[in-house]
Amino acid sequence: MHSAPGPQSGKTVFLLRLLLILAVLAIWEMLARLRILDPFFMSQPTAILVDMKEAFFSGEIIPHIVVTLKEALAGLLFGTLAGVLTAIFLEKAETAARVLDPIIMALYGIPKLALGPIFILWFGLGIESKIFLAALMVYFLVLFNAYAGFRNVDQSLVNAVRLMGASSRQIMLKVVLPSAIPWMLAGIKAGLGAALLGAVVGEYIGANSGLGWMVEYAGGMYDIARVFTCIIVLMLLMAMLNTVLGAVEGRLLKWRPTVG
Amino acid sequence: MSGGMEMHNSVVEKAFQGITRNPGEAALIEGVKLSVRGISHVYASPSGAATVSLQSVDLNIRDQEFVAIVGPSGCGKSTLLNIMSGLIRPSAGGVFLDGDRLSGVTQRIGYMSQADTLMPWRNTLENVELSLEIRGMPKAERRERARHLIHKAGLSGFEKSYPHELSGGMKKRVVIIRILAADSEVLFMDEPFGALDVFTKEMLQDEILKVWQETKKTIVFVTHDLAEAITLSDRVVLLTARPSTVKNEYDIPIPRPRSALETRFQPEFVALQKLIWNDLREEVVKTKGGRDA
Repeated sequence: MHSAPGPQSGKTVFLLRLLLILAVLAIWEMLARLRILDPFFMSQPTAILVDMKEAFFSGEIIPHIVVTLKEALAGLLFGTLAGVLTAIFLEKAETAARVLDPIIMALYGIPKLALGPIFILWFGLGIESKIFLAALMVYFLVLFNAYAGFRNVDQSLVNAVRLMGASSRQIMLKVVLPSAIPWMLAGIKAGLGAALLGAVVGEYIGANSGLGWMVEYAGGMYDIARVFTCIIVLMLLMAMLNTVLGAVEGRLLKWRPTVG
Repeated sequence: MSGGMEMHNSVVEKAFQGITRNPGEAALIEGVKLSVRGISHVYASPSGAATVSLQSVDLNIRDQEFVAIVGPSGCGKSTLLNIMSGLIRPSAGGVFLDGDRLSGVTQRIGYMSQADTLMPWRNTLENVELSLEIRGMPKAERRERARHLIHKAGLSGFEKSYPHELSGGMKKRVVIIRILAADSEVLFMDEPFGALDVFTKEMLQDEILKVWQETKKTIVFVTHDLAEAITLSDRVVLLTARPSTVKNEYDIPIPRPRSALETRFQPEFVALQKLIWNDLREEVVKTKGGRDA
């Protein structure tokens, strides 16, 4: 934490991290082999590795990854768009904002995952219901962040462009939106996990494809190795998407003194 | 809240009896660029009491004149400038540019405030272009103009730098370039160098002197720094403590071109500073003593 983050220490941290993961896996494997853990319920790293190889080499898991990724990304996109547009509307219409504030907070308080079964009734077993659930999870996160961003715009910047003769549309485009971008990105970052969660839980409740469905199906068949395979794939997906988003953020916020 | 508003209105009306004069649509006075007629401003303080910040302020500013406005702190200098720029509506009176009554902000006036108003997500070039962009100037043309002005100001090499990469003095220079790019007829500056160190301040004062020398724009400069006011201006306008009105005006006959450093050692400078400071001190004492009145 306090040491200077040189390339050397970065490498050390990476090695230590790898070592920790390997140690946990080794202990798991050992406990399973010694029958201290029952492999039937807990599986074991070697079995998971074999299953993972199987799942990828047979190509069986690929379409499910694609479906889940599609749902999560579409949900992230629609949820973000809806959230930003709502925030712009609330920023422009002050009365509407005051009327809607408690209603939005109440809707936010609903456990949305619990509504999954209803969305599947409405939108069917296909990807639409999962996209809706994922988008809904993202929507509130982006809405609250974007709105907070709009409220926090430096008024002296707004005055400066107003004195240059900017119209209210130009003020929105040239000051309010750009200065709220860091806030929106924070919302989208949090929304990424929520979107993946929404997609997987939606699949879990009722679907015929996707990683959530695969977890549910494998669980029902007591194929614990396959359950772990799916979980590891989900972890890797999340890490990958986070890296992509981090790169996008770095590009968009290169004007800031410190980024992440 | 609504009770406060009603009180505000009645107190404001009462406060107005006697101070409101009908400025009328004034005829254009020969050589006058900007005319402030009977400006009064009353606002409700948080407690609901009406506070008169400006009372019948009259001011005529000639074309190409450099006027500095000074006064005790809290006297409404900035409010006056905000009214003159159209950001705040006065309770009474009007502002006339070339004889035309101003209603709201106008691109004919360029404004520089004390706050850091560079857009942090725009680099130097993009910041300088901003007002031209708002006006709808084609990209190639505004880029060319911005580049030229940045080069002329000696900031070549910093076109792609973001504000956080620039020093406080450089940021102010970029703001000056931005205001010049807009090429407004009149420039307003509201304590633009308030928060800077002495050396940076002196360098920027020289920059402003140079800008005036080269463009001969009409400039109104609000400051609490009397030395700065004398150094830069052709005329210093002294406002009284609240409710503020013009207490006195002083011509500054120091020859131009001036330098911020040299001017300070001129005998006229010292005499003027002493003269104005005596008048200013009366008002400062009034502010201190009359805080609760």
